[in-house]
Amino acid sequence: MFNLQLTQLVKGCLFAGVLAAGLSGGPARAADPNAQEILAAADKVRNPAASFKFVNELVEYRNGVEDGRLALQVYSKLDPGKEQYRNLARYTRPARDAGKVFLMSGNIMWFYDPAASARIRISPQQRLIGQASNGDVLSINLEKDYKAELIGAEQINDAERKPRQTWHLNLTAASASAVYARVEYWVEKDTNYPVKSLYYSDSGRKLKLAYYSAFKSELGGIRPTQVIILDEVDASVVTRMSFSGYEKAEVPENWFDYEFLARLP
Amino acid sequence: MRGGSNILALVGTAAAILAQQAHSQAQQADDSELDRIPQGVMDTSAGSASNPAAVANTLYLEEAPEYQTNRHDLLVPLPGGNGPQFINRLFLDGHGGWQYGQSLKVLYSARLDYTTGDPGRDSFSYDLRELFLSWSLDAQRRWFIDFGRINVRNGVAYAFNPTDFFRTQSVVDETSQDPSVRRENRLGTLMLRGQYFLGGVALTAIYAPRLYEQPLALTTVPSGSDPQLRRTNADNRAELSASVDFGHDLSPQAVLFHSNDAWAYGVNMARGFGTQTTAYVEWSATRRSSLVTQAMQYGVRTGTFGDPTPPIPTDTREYLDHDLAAGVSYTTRSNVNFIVEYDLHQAGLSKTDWRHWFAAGTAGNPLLNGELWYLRDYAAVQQEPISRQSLFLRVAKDNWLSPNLSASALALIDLTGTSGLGQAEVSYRVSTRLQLELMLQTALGSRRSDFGSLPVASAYFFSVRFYL
Repeated sequence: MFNLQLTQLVKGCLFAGVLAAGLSGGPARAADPNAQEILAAADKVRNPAASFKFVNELVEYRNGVEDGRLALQVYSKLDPGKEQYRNLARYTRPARDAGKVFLMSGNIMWFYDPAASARIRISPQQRLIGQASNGDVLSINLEKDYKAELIGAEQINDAERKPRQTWHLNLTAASASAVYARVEYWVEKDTNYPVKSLYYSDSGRKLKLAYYSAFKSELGGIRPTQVIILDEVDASVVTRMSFSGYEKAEVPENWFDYEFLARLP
Repeated sequence: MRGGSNILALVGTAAAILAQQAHSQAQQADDSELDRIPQGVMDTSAGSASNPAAVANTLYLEEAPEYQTNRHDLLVPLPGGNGPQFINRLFLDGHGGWQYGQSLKVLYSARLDYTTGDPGRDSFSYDLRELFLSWSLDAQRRWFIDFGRINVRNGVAYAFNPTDFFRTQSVVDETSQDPSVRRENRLGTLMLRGQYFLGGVALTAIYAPRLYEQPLALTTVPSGSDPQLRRTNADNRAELSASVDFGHDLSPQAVLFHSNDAWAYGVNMARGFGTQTTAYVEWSATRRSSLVTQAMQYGVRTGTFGDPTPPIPTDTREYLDHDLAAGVSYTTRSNVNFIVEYDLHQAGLSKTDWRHWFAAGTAGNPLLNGELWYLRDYAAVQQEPISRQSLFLRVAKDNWLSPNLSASALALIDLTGTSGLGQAEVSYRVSTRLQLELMLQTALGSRRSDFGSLPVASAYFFSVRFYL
């Protein structure tokens, strides 16, 4: 009887533990889907296939007040060999930066300033977009830069405080072009929509938290057209990125020549 | 058993409550993050913007007073005495253009300047830095032809660009010593340029005609409305360049240049190492005489001197001379950027040349002093280091102390005589339209050194820039 009671007690605790794990995000089960596949599916939601252009408008808020605004015309093209995007971005706002162009192809980055007619080789670490990193504003397949691990299933609130059933992934940098050392990523179960991501530095410090929202039909898929970035280092800073003007665009190979930056249409 | 079941139920319930609490706390933490999103940030109209114009126009008004402290104990006195202490500049600066259809663009870059307190220039001046027509010949944008005044700048180095062959006589504002600032205000050359792109290869051919027999003398102050083509188009010049992408982040550019019956050639290349470091190297070679000889020949050609005999001993023969710039740029995780660059200008002044320069300057011959300072002016307008070896250091940080504050400091160090020029600069973006800037320059070194012998000991600049 005691043994039975003990067995039931153990089973009860295990059940409670599983229940707790289910509610708060527990270890992945054998039947869970492949984390790398979830990440790849979420990439397909964020990024149209082939080559395209779009406008990325960033508005930075400090203590709730708008503090800066810039806009970029971005051209993205999937490199078929590497399954990663190459990007060209031209500032269209504000006036002091209008016309400046940067190219990012993996770790290769060039910057062009029309005022000086100068092309400068820069490193991905050199931040050009205020608080947002270069990787934040461009098209990037996270699946190619990170190794994903499934933490578990989790219900979280999205940016509009609506509950979403998600897969909680842990991403660790797996290529030299990965912008962050580690990313926690929440992807909606049924749709593979990205819901939230939390970015960490090399030292494990939280850098920023991003919420994906305003899902709309763009270039053959439902995609987030807005990302709210909460700065985890300076809590007064919030950045809103809005994506618009999606169009299929031919982006010939020669556009990725650094000499071409001055010619970008 | 009933007691055991009760215990089990109790433990299970407690565990469930704890788990629920944990989840609830996580949810609250989640929601507290969401509370940080300011009202109105969620933009329901996202995704509705249209594509922006292909050519952007930037126009700003800047007020920039400058105060200088002069040295009064110069070993080699400046002919005409020291310059002014206070100069004020007010200028309207713009660049941009217009697009006509898919294949034609007109691009310009210009500055209208009103200066007071500087006897070395007209009060009003207008610098048309660029004005050219750009024609894209095919839909794939592989072929381009440009005609007009164009600022062509080759090179990947930060301080000195040996392959930037059109740099000579081009800079019209010497205020800042930061190369990135000096590059912004230089005159283009009237030229015809053709460019061809083919996946990974870019070929460029340039022809810049001679429009004047005699170039602008260094001592001449052009009128404010003079387009100064005499500075940029006094020689027939041609350039061929090719950049090739070999993959693996290797895309060197080779340049062949011809001017005044002399050929020059060079290569530049930059490469990244990881996500924080880039390195670059730029080299060129040409057959030429020393900087001293070149300066005196230029003085004779422009009618400044009747006799090319140099004021200090120098070898007047021509040799194959090399220019080199090699540097590393490193950016920390906190976005502080460091640049270290070594520059070699083989035609420049050696330690012995400097000794001769000071010996001649202290001989008490005012006419000779004029020639000695002319050598230095010539090196400045050629955009070349005056000494053979120099070091450039720069550190810069955006969002320093305050979100809209940027700071940079740089040092130009003359390795032939251990003297240097330091510059510190802070700029504050008050709004997207308004920017304030404060800059301090100081020249350090003994009285018998390159920078220690300059007439200006330190200079302070303040500017208010308003984007229109």
